[in-house]
Amino acid sequence: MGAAWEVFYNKFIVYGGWKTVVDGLVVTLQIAVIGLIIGILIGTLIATVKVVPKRNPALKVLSVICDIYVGFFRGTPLVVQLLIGYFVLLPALGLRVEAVYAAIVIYGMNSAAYVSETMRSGIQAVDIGQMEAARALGLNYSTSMMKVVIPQAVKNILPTLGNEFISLIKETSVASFISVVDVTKAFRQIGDSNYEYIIPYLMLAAIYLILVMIITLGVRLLERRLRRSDRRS
Amino acid sequence: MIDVLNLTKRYGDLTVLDDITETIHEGERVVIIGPSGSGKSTFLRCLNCMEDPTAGSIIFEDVDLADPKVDINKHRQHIGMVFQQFNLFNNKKVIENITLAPVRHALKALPFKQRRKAKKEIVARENERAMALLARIGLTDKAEVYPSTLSGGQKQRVAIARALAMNPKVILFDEPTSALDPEMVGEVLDLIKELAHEGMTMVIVTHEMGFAREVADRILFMDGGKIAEQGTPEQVFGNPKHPRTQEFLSKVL
Amino acid sequence: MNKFSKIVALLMAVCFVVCLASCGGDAKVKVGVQSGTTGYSFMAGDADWGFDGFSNVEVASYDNAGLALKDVEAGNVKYVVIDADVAKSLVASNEGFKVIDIALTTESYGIAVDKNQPELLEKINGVLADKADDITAIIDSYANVDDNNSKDWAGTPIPAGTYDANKDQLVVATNAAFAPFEFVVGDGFAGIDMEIAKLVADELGMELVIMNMDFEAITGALGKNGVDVGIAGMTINAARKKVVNFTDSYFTDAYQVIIAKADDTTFDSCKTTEEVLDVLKGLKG
Repeated sequence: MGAAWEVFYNKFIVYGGWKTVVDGLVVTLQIAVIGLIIGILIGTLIATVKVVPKRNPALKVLSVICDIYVGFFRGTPLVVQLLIGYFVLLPALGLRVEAVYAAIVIYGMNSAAYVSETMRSGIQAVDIGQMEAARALGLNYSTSMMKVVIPQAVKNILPTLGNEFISLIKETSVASFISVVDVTKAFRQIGDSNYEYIIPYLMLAAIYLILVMIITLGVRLLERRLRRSDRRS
Repeated sequence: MIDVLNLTKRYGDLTVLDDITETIHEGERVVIIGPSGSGKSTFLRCLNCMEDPTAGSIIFEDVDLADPKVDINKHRQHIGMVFQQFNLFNNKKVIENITLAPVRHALKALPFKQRRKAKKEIVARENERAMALLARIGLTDKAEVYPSTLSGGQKQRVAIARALAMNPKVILFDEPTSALDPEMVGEVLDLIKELAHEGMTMVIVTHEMGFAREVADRILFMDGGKIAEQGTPEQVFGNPKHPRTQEFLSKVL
Repeated sequence: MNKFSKIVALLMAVCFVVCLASCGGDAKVKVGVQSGTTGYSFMAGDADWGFDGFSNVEVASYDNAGLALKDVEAGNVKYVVIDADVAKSLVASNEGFKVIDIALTTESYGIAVDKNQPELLEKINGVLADKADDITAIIDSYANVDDNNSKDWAGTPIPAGTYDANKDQLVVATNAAFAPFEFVVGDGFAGIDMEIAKLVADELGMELVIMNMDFEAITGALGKNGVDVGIAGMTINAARKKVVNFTDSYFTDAYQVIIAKADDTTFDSCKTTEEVLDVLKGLKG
């Protein structure tokens, strides 16, 4: 164990491996945070399309498109989506996108599919009277949704969104399939360079644990703040 | 003010409203009573198209609200609605509940560019009006709290203030006191009576017979999707003609 | 602004800052390599090897060089650095590329042997010595890259076999994405290393079993689950020697080269290794 630590220390501190780890951490956070935001935005849109009463034929078409989207992203592994997105789709479209940004978008789109289901049940869990009251005041559908229903839906699903964030953080570990250096890849490279894996991998696990703990705490705090509007005096 | 023509509402095979034709006149206080399942709430909710009529027309402000081409939101601004379950916006403070719609409509009336600048003014103005309404119902100290902290009676009075903030021509009350504890029913009914005395046109669905007798200009007794009998409170309560009316009143009075 | 807008704005600000944090400094030129290979160590720098690396280069690691090449096509990466023969094979199977055939390193390949089997090491060394001519013949037979690349190879593939702990088998770990040394053909394998593996197994009277895995996983796989040796165009180096034993080298003509797009003129005037290195150090993204 002593030798393993020495070798690791060498690569990590002396040869500046920690820089790669920090860069990798930044990448991990970039993908998870921005991916989550994209996921929530697109997911809410999809959920709204699915929830809206479909009087307009255009909405019916949109609803089918959403079903296909969600079906694909929930029905295929994330890794496959990364590979197709980066090595097949982007070259086919002739687009030149840096791997990190491609990863962010793909993780975001994947997240959106799951968030949309959560958001949909969140919206449906909001008492229908809220929407009725807003409409009775002459507010249109989108205003009622945005100002009354969706804020309450988000509050309902906050713990689930927190879980989605945690999932994202962990899922970033396969971003190296499309040559993105996240924190997992960074530690793998340190391990590969001298075939000593114990310390790098354990450290890697510890970092994920810490990240997840911080997020869990953050979600709890956020929930508490938002629930103050529910407190009975 | 509201002309209901041949209103029919069906859910699949079940006919809830059966070819009703009726008029609500300006300044009238119409109270609808009847057994459950008679279609009272459905009828009320059709008046502002909360329920879509299967057939028939609802004429208000010279348009047919049931016509899909009509902009229902514009006309709903002049029809207030008070719900049995209050339906205050849980994510907004009491005062925001009251000002949400008026502010929104005032902003929408302006062209895009002017909205940002006018917002502060509009919000300030509506806040003032909202505080005046809250003063009227004696709840100014609750302006900055969230609805979940209020009692049922307070919630319903705020709901009424919210409806009033839009300066409606008519207010629809859907069993406004049915979800309240008995000791709070009085404060809500008092408020509604005040509005009645001020000449507000209203259509009320209720089980409170004493209240109905006091407030109503006209009582509609509904049964089986039709208006079985109507008249002044003295006529309907004192001398019910239809057998179903007699049956119903004998049970509730 | 209401509460929701504030939260969204805050999150956007966080993203912006995070993005800035990573987009600092001069743009680096991107070079693709295969994870865990000498090419990676050469470009990224490795103190044990004595490679300084290149501070102006951003190294992108892929599971194999072919994927890296795909990314050059897509424009995300400018060059690929990989072993010379593999480079030539790749260029033969993909249009629009050329090999800058100037050696950046000098390497020898060896067969990695499980440290717990010193007798096996001796036996294989014996075979390599006895059959040196046959081995040279195998290497020569793959010299024609136009025929002997993963697309056009027309021989009979070597079957993977099934691992059976009770049988006398030579279990070989490899990364079959490295033509002409090892590559997948149909449901079997072909390539210089694969044929050498068959030769050794036959000479030792053992049944050949081939296991295909990630390159970096090979050294760790030896001695576990029955894996005896690793044959994968693996350069003999000090770091690997700590974990596995290497046979005598069976291929001494290995070196790293650069693959560039056919119309790329950056290295056209270079004739020596030093010149290539100078150009490399001066590249910008």
